[in-house]
Amino acid sequence: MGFGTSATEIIFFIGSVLVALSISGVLGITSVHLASGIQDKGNIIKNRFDTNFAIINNPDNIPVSDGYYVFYIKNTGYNNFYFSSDTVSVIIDGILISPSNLSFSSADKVSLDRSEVGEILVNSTLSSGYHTLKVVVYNGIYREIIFQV
Amino acid sequence: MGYSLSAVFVIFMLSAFMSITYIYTSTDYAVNSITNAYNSKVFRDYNKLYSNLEVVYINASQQGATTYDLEIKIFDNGDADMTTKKMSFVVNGTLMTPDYFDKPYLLPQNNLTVDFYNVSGTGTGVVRIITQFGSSTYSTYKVT
Repeated sequence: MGFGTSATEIIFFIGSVLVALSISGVLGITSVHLASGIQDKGNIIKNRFDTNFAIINNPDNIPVSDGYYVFYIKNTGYNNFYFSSDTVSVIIDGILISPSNLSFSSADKVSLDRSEVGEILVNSTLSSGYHTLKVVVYNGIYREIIFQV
Repeated sequence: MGYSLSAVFVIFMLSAFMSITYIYTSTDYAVNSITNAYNSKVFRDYNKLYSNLEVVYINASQQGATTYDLEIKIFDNGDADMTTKKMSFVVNGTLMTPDYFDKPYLLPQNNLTVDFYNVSGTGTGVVRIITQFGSSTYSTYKVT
């Protein structure tokens, strides 16, 4: 009878500890996910604050080079950002320009450093008159100009 | 029963303490980095808002049949310090790098002289000057 009581208590003890450890494990995993989410979201917000650029063309005099309209993008933010058709979208008059009709040029051919000016060459046929150019970078920050050809 | 409750209590308390510490550390890191980025953005926006360039002199003197030298004097009438090499110049629609700056930094209430040699073109022209903060000013000139 005495042994039986002790065995029950031991089993009860081990069971309780196992249940508590399981609950703690779930709590720990949830905490890691939560903390990781907070850090990710923080990095996204930080990136948006750190990214800035300007389209610096003279809007009524857009240069044309070998049939490509040349648009100048100046990085006025704190971050460098990747400067290619994979990360930058170009929309003219509301129509997305296909990456095959875009060409990007920067000093290192990969990214646009702080204060650096890069070129986006757009192969497109535009009627004479006013048009709207919208450039969207990887994190959704965009700039728009109205230009004349 | 007493031992079980104590063990469970200790496990829960340790687990809660570790979780709270971990979440707090991550949140603190995220908040700090956002605050720093926000302050940096405010600083840049402030500089953009308070950078004010004025072209006080511009002269395009013809050199060849279709080339000219362009000299621009810029006055910083704003409140922002600028690095001249980080300024951009769009001359007649085309991005150009100056051949000469007379100083590396443009400070408030100071002048900067910028020269371009052998620029192609004739007649009149337009130059757009863009600061490192993204603000800009225009000036027109006539080649003489």
